[in-house]
Amino acid sequence: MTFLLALALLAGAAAPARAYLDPGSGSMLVQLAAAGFAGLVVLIKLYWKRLVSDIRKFRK
Amino acid sequence: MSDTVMNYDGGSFRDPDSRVFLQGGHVLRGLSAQGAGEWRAVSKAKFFRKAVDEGRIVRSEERKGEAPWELILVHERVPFVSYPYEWGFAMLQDAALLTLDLQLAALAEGFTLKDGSAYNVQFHGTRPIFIDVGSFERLKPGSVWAGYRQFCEQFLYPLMLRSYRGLPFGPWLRGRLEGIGAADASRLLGWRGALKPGVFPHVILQARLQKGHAADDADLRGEIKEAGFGAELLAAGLQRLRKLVSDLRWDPEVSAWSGYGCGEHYSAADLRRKDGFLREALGARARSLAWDLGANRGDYSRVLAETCHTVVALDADAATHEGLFRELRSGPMKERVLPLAVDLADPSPGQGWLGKERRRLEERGRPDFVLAFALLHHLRLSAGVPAAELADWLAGLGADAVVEFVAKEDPAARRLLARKDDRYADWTEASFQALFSSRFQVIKREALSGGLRVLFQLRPRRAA
Repeated sequence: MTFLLALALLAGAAAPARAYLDPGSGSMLVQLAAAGFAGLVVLIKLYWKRLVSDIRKFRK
Repeated sequence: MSDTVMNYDGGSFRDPDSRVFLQGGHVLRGLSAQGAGEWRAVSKAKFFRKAVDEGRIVRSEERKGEAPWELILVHERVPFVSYPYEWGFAMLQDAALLTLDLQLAALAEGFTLKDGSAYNVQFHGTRPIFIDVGSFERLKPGSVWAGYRQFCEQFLYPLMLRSYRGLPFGPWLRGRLEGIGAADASRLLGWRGALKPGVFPHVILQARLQKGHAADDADLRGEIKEAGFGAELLAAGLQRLRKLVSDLRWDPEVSAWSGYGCGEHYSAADLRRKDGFLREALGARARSLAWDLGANRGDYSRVLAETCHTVVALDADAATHEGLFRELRSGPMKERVLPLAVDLADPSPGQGWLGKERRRLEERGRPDFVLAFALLHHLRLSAGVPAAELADWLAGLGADAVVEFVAKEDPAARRLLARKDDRYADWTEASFQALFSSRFQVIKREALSGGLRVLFQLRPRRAA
């Protein structure tokens, strides 16, 4: 029991600090698109990185 | 102090680091250790102190913390609390611009708002003021604005609906306190709205991305940061959003009401009589809160504001309310008169969690003076409210009142009945006077020319 509690506390401590309001993944990404050309570049970079890492995972 | 002893405000439970409660007529805010840390940082920031001095952020004094709170703030009180579904277009737009201006100023000094709620703004007359000081926190690197979606749902989409499609947003905001979702906004704006400025990124794309990423549980903030998104890009996006919001326009068409009050129903002598009757009833006594029911162009709200600290000017007609707000905003009574779009036959209810998050109109401050010129016959003849219930309701407010009785034979009242059977036997002056004099002391009665419109000065009979 104590072990489980400690594990839960550890998991809690390791979790990144979150806001009380869920910003929503889609709404986070759209802010990049809405920040003009430079924001779009960042958005494309983010999707590119995801694509590359997906391909790597697929190859493995 | 335990949670049950603290008189928490029903609308402030969402943020566990900052909760509002009432104590001895004061509005207090309890801050957790985390919340107190953010407060100590932001309250020293230049932008914050400047905004407080300019009356754009509510004034707060620190008081020693009591468990469970690390620190307690005592806030300056807003004279009368109002909600976005009672605001018109320009009011919501002013509140939106205040939110964005504060967010931009905060960003420049390394802070951000953690939400984007329209309920964080209140009005001192026509001046918007930001009340949720617990909303500021230090910006973490690579952050987007956590409150952006909420800002869209409670500010941007309602404004777009009004500006691009002419739809009133009040019923939508009252129907769903969270605001209008992106997918719903997209459907409501339709293909005609799709080409309007800002609709593609903020509405259509956002709705699409929300759907596509609903199950996305990746560390998106980390990814966004790693891809090179920083405070400058965040500010650039917010600047564009600010321009979009400030460029939105809505000019109401002239409604049946917005032209009313220019003397159509009254001779110049009768207008002078009404003005004189009201002034005499008010006397020189200073009052704190007056309600002007059916305020119309606000002529009498301005008279009330000469002796009453705050006047809440209620009118159901959107075009009339919009005109009144814009006129007041640049006039001498801009800090005194708060115009709200409220239909008294269907006033704002208590809603949200336990029905207490947003309070009923009557629960937000009792008036000490009530004016109802040319209103009650609408509630009786159009909305069908029985005369006795009208008298009960007015008496329940417990304030001195000046009311106008308009007889069924009056040309304006006849128009209300033109396509209806007359089932309003209780609407005669004799019955009106009998109903009201059992609940009020009639101080004065004065008939206007023709005798079909009669003014009454009433004082409530205190319950024995």
